[in-house]
Amino acid sequence: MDFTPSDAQQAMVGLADRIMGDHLDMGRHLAVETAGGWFDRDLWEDLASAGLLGIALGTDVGGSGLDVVALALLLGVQGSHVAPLPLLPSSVAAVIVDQHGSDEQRHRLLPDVAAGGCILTVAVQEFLDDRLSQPSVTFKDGLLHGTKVVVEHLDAASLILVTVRGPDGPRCVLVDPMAAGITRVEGTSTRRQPVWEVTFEATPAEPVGDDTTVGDLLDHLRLGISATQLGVTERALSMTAEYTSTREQFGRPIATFQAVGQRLADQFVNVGGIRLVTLSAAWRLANGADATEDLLVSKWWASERATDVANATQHCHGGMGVAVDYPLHRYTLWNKHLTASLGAGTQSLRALGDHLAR
Amino acid sequence: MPIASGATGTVTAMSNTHRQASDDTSADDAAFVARVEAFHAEHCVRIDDPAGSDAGSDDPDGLTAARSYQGALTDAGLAGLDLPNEYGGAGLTAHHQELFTRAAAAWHRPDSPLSISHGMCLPMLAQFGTHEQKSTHLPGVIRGTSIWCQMFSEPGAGSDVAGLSTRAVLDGDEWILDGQKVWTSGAHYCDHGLVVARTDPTLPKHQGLSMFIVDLRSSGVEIRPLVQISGAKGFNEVFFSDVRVPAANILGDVNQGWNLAVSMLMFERVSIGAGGGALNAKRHPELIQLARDLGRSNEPVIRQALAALHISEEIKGYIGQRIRSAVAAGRVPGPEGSIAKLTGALVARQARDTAMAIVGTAGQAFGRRGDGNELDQRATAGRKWSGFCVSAAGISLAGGTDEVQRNIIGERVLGLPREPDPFKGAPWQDIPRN
Repeated sequence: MDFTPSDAQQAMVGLADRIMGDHLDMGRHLAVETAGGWFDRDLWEDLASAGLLGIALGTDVGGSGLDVVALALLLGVQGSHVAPLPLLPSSVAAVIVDQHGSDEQRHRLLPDVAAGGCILTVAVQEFLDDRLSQPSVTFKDGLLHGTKVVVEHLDAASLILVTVRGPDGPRCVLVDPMAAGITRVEGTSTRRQPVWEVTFEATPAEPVGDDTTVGDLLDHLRLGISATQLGVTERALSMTAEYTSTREQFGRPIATFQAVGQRLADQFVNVGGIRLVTLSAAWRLANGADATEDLLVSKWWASERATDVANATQHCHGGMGVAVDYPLHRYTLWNKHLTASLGAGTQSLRALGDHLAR
Repeated sequence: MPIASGATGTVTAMSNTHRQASDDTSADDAAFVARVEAFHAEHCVRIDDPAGSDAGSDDPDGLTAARSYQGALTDAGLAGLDLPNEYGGAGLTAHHQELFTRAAAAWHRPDSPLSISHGMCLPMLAQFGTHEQKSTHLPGVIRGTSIWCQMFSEPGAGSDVAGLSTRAVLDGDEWILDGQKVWTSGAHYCDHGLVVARTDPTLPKHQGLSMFIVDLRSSGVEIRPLVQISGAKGFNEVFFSDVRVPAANILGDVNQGWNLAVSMLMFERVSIGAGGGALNAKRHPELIQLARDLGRSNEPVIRQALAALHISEEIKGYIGQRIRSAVAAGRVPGPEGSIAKLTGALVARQARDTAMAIVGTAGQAFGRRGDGNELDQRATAGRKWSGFCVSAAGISLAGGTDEVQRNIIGERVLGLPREPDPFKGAPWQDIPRN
């Protein structure tokens, strides 16, 4: 594959970067948070108007018809601005509905997703259960039973795409968050956004796709997480390069101390690795090739190496990295949150080991 | 052969002497340790009791619990162990302090808000204070009714702390203080600060500094809390505007402040890397329990990480013990404090990574409004270690960064040549700064 973005992809990245960059600054982040929220709805509507919310959806359902490489690049832009949006789960769930849903489901749901009115989220994680592809929430006779954790964006979502165990094995279903039999307990994630533990008791749900859908959803989520972390780490590193080049101690910029410069050079290599393996996985997914290996490698790389990047960028900022008045801490918190999403490095290695040694 | 034989004889003789010496003192030591144990059994919970570490939400800084513990400790004659009775101490020795540190390590002690006051400010006051200063301040500091903080770092002076710009100008029998400090731990609840300020800008940067005892309730002191990535508000910015400090409040001599600052930094590094507080509690016992609770204790990867952490924490413990023994023998801590501090930072990061591997998904949850069920317990463990995770990075910064410690070890332990300094010997006021 060619790692250079196409003209259409480059134009999309430029547009998204301009919209998010113009809109988000420290004051805007604080305004959203002090209003008691986490979600920048104005920015969401701007992205919808620019056609970015349906970037990888079919043109027949209001999308732009680009592929998941474009979606990965868009998520990278979000990560670089740590933009408080439900972009990852909503876009990935929409792609799954687009690729696995019936024509009726596609035309009923996706135009509104592309227009920004319908937000989707996903519920795939169960406590300390690494076997994401073998969910324990059951789906029988049209009803759900069981508990999912770390469900994000529930207060904004119109529908939840849930991984379940049906009579014939793992499946995906769509659930209305207002449906009967749902109990939700709110908590706070490490990136200071609300997350929910959701328990279903005889909750009605609508199946989507077939026995390949859960695997495809997990693959796209892994890609989305790595792609977001690419943007997060790239920007954290460029902020650190700028900070250490202007911060002077002992009469010189601290970047000129080898202990600082060489540690940051190592992080450049780490970010480069995240970029290459993430784009390779995206390209394979977009072209129908087997991406499992690349995705596990990219998730491991994004978990372990992004943690190195977060630690180094924060350390080289000294106290500024610890203070919430300076933006860097958001990148560290996002990194930590994304690293633990769908299991961290150990789980990826275990799954990769199973995959290679089967 | 005679040499070897002689050497063996000497070793035997030394062992006998040593055994005899410990026989003489061991009964006293045992009685003292029993007192320490009995006190903590009454006032604290053990370190392996998970109920012990949660501070009440109505006491965000943990001050009430700290003051109550310290007051009781003082009443029991177990505070200020190696300080004379006339200054409010227990009149015992540094050896007793070491016995206390070891025995008390098994307990959750709520005294972390006092760690700087006791680990850094108190030894400075005891070592460099005048009789007058010690009589006035030590009893309150020992009891915890007066809490002190360290005020070195400034926006322009972090690693290069000797380049600081806060000015102190003598006006009659008062110094007038102007400038800004930052990252001042605990200033918002402290009574006094030990402030390093520039008293002569025409001297080279290390030579024109002095240390002052500053009453933080003085007119012209403004304290603004800084919120940290962990959500805590432990740090502050502190602004001095025409703050008048009595001339009698200088600690040590005028323009000798750098020597005092170096001593205090050594106390800080020893305190961070080898102190007996929560910062240096061994974390692997709790993490082993956590792995058991979460059903992960049979996973080979987790077991290896726990074993590796155990090894690191043992070595870190010995480094701390060696330093405390030297202090108990009357030696002032030297650059080995940097070894302890660096090791402490590295081991904290190792513990962080091990903890995150164990809590897994639960590490994403920072808080949860729940009802105490099983999931809630897991989320609580996740929250606790998430908090530790985002705080651990700070240990590599406080008291001199890892890089500064490595420079000190290179230059002062290994004797490597110093890094060239183009401004060496230049008056501070002629050095460019941003």
